[in-house]
Amino acid sequence: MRSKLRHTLLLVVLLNSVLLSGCLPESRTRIDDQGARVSAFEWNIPDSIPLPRVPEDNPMTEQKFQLGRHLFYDTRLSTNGTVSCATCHHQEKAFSDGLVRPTGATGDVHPRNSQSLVNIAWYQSLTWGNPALGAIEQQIMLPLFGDNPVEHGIDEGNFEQILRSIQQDQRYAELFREAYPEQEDPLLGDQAWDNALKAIASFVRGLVSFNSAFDRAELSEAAKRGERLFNGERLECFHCHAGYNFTDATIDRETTFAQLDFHNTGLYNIDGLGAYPEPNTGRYEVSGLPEHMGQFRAPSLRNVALTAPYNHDGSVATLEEVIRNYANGGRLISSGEHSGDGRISPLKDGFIVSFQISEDEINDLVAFLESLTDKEFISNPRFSNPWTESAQEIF
Amino acid sequence: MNRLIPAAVVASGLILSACGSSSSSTSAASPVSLSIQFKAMAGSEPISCGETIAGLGLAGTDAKLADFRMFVHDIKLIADQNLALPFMLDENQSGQNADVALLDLRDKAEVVGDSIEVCAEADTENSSDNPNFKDTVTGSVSIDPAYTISHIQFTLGVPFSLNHADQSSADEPLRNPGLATGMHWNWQNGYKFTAFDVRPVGGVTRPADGAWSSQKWNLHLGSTGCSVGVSDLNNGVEPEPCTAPNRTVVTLPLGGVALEKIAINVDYAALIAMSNLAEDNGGAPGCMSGGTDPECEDIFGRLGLPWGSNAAVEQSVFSIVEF
Repeated sequence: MRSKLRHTLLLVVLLNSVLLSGCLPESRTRIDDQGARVSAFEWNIPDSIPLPRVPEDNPMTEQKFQLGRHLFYDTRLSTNGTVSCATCHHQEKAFSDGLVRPTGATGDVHPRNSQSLVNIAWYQSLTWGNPALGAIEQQIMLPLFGDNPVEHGIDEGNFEQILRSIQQDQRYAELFREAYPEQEDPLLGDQAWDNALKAIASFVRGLVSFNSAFDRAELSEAAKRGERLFNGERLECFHCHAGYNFTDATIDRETTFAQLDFHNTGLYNIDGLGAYPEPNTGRYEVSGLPEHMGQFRAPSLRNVALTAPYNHDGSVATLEEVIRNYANGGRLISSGEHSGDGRISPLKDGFIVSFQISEDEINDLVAFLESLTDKEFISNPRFSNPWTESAQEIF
Repeated sequence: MNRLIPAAVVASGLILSACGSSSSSTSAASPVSLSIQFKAMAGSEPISCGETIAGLGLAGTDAKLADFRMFVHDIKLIADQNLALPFMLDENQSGQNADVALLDLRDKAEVVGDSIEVCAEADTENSSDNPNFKDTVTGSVSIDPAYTISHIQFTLGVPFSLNHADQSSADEPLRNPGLATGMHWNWQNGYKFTAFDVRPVGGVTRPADGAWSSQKWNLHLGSTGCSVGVSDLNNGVEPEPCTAPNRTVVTLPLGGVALEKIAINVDYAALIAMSNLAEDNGGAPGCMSGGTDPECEDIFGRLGLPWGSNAAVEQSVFSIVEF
């Protein structure tokens, strides 16, 4: 009976999907099979927030989340035992690292600023500039196995050795067994890697933050004034930093039409034609289309006060400076190798218009952005390093 | 690792033997087992890990091999009736499945304890055979004895339908971590079709940037301008083709060489004949298929691929040789 019901539901879902895509051939319509409010995993999110999409082949479970948490904080997952995911993603900084640009296990400097990991389950597109990266499972291959730049530096010469060190740890034997109870030996061979990657994806997918002063409607007077500025037509912030996750790159189980938006904010204009310096050319680097030069995905502003420095290359030190760049309608760099006037870039997004703003108003806007800081998120023991002694007592 | 194994593979060359047919068969076409060997060469000289390859490219650069792997698929024999006879890859052979094969022409590896460095810069006492060395694709073709085979054809790369799927659960040789480790295209979300990388003696520098340097001059061919994501595939959305698929179809005339005597040369010296391996003028070090990477224009022409407004020309890297 249950299974028949499920099949009927699936059929309805399929029909819906066909009908909708028939009406909107350009849309990316997807209807989730589980309904918008049902999940086996405890997401700890308010009722007002729709559940995020989860790949069918990697449903969320608490056991995978906990296994992934151990792997996320484990420096054994690198070529020389020096780098874990947490090396560039610190909980107290909303899982960013406070650096302009991070350095990998073998000394390569990454061209881009480490992003925070906040509500990434709701991101339609995960990285600064690649529209093809929508799955966390696929994205985490880059830092782990990428060779340009090397981050963790796992390669063909060491991945079996690294797996052996994981296999020999009794704690992992238990965690893998609990996470994948249907498998006879979830630590066996290359299946173990697939299991590990899906678990890491589950952990970062579960890093949710919806308990800021803003969420609790506890804004200071300054923050309230800042909120009005944020949502006003003079500043235009809310167009790109839209909705409950403060980014227009948001997708959830209720989304029926999702447009993939990337924006050029006039940060550079090194040739007078809108060019950004290599290798950080944004969406253009992937698509090769000239109109995509300098377009980056808008990051969520949740916990943004903790994630300085800012922009895709960490080239802007403070929130005040970010706001002034927008107020100027772009950034003027008057000297040096990247000099150019981003304010007159022909590739600038239509919403990057200059505006008048007073120092008091800048302070109010910053107060609003600070109200998006979720102190529970950055101190939640669920998200903390499980390898420390104090954390071991919790689990 | 037994040093005799690669030698035996080399010695066997291209093996052609009839099987599964009998004299009473009425079918004209009968399946024939076939092995096709690929050889890493610089001109007429075989190239090998740890050994210096002399006089490469425009500047006559000396270099050592760092990587020499490539994916091939859609292999066919072309008969003179202009018929394409599909070569069915034997999915039970390592390094290949029914759809694609990963050739790994790096012959040596350095093994220290339980770690391994394939194609290390220098030979040492720890040098041994690369356990994943694979220079031969194995399969079968149905050949009507009335046909005369005139060409062999293959496509360099991974088929589109497999190129953007999840790698950690993929079948070998596409699995990462697994045989495809190092072939992960961490930029465009797919696979490198080729990793032809060398370490030029003296390194690589940029005339316009004294602070820039690289140990390697790389050739990573792959599809670019791709917007399909794994999440789209998971949700059953048909992927859009990449704007630059960069899959070159190589058709080689047998040139009178008998099928059982042929091998395919991969001539690195011809590939970079007009490139300066000591220099890089922008983009990734060497050519990584980026649409504005100045090192790619000539390389793409030599692979038989279009580049910008340049139309595709005949490739000049692969050739049939008598074994």
